[in-house]
Amino acid sequence: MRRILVLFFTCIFMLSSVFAGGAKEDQTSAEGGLSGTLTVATNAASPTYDAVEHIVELFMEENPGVEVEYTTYGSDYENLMKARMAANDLPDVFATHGWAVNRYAEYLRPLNDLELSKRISPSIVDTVTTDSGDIVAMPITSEQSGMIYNKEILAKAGWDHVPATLDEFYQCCEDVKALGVIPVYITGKDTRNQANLMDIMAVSFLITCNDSGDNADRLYDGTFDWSKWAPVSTFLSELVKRGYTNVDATTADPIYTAEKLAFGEAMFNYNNQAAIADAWTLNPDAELSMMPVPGLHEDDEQIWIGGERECYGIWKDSPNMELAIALLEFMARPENVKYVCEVAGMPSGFADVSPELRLTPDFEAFSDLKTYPYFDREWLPSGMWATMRTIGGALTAGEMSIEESCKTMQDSYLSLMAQQ
Amino acid sequence: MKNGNRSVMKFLQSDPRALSLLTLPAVLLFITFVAFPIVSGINISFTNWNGYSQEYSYVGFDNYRKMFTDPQVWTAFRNTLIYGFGSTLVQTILGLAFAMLLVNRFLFRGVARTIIYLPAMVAQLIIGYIWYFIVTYERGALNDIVALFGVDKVDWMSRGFRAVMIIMMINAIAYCGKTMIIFIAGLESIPNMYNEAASIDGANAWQVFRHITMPMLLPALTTSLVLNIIGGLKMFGLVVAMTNGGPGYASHSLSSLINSLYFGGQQAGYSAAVGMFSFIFIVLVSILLRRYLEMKEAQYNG
Repeated sequence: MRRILVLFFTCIFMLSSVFAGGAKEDQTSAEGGLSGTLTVATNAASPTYDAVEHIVELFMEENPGVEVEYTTYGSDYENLMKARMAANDLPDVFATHGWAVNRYAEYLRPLNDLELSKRISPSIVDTVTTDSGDIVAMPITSEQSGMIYNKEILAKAGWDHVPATLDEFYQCCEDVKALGVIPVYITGKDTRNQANLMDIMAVSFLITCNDSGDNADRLYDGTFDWSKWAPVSTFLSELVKRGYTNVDATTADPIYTAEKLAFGEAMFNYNNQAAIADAWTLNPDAELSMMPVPGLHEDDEQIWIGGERECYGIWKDSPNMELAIALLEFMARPENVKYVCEVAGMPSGFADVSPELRLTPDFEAFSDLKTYPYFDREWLPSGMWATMRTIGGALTAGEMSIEESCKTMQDSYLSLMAQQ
Repeated sequence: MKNGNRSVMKFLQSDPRALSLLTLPAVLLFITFVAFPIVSGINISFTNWNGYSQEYSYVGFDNYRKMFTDPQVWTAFRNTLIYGFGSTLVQTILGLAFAMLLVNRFLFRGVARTIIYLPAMVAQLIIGYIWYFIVTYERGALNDIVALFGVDKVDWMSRGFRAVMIIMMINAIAYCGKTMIIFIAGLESIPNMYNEAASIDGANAWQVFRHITMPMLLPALTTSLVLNIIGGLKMFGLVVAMTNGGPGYASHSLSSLINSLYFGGQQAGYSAAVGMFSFIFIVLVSILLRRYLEMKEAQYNG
């Protein structure tokens, strides 16, 4: 019996130690510096992830008492974050990947009281600000995207300018195909690539074209006629039908994108600047650049797609609030923002930081063009991304008609609108 | 103190109520990990919950009504039947063939059994990733073999039905070792006197197999069929690793579709309704199958 009692008290002692460890600790150590453990989660891939990881390491060097667990969940990020939101148990600091307001706002701590919030670039501050005026996330990098292209191949195909309209784009693809180069490289194993393509083209085809009418308003109020989505699906379908995509567009793995771009095997690709930076690590001489999205008609404007990119917010119920704020303030230091932007090859999210980017002169050539948000972030309810991935994959494989894709979008849109 | 200890021991050893007490840990685990999720799932299936928000509303039977007209659900249901019954058929034929071969004593029999069983010990997701690199278009092993014969490379997983059949075959090949082990146990339990009597009576190999081996193997066949069909109907890892349900939704199983609707589509309520349908279907199949096979066993046992 004595043995049982000893065992019982040992268990009680061990449990009490465990619970004592779990209790909230003072985040200031005896020496006056910060101390504790902070969890930070992102969906970023290399090179952005490597750049932010470096900044996190610098933060830990400056604060030896702090341990930061910086993790990327990659393509599983959104699913894991949804599960953690449902359980109301989030990382202390996490990336908001364009959904700071529409998805994560109710879980984020407003940053308006922090000095860094005053420095966020005016061109993107609205994308991280709620209707009630709360700035809920801090964008380190921003995005100015359209289509990645190879300048050298464009010249070889006999073009002295980037295609400005849809017809010109198709003609350019035809000329590039004649050179034996893949005109548009699609990596359908991860259907985010096709969804991204449609997300970008939909802005030009449905919002900024001269016959867009009241599409934007109808998308906001839930009365949009989804047969009008047809040109977007048709665009993807046509690329495949005309042989402008790689043979394995349905199943190609995104890990090959950098290689195809770096060595001139592919002309166009729908990705952000980070994909160019990634390709340059394989071949620094690759003549890659970013071009604006072509207009649907001859007199339509070309546009850029943009918004926040690597962007972090603080969980409003974080038990490590002091550490989380310290980390965000450290990340926001101009030299750290500049470092991340230059490694990732992305423009800054702060007005007072101007990174030296190889693409800057190319962007300046189109400085008079307007920048619009991604289609799903502005005009669709949260959750439509998955539907766009589904129809994107099916259209690439030729397993869904244009009408079916419109119907699928409509059903999903109505169902998600009803949740709101 | 000693007296108290003794009375507890006496209670545990003699009182029938103690037996119920001993099942308590198992009952608690069942309630936590099976009963509660099922009840919670039924509740969610009547809501429009997006899967992460703290708020949602009840929508009655809307999710169930939508399910019956949704082509995604019916495609996934058809695929699930192929994964369940198709895999089981191939798995049973392969497993039985290997078992008949490897029940006889010969050199390296143990090694051969181990090699065939080995994939059954690997997680489905890992098997899926290994096979993905075999069938992938760019630098895939299968296309390298095809190229040796001067044939053009094939994008194997780019067509929905072909992808379904490939996944079904991979599942059957990977897990036929499990079926083989069950059949070997069944074959080894058949008394040799029946075979000897049959050979004295002049029965040929097929007659021995048809009238002795097969009836005596029925208990093993029942176990194997039920396990394989339920396993196939719950197919998830291979689909996620190889196609993620694509192209489009053409290769989804009900399990992978539930996952996709819940997380990607943010339709947790609808996903739970599909989950309930899948649950009821698997329960029905297992009950009916078991009853049928038990009836067959009873027939053979006279």
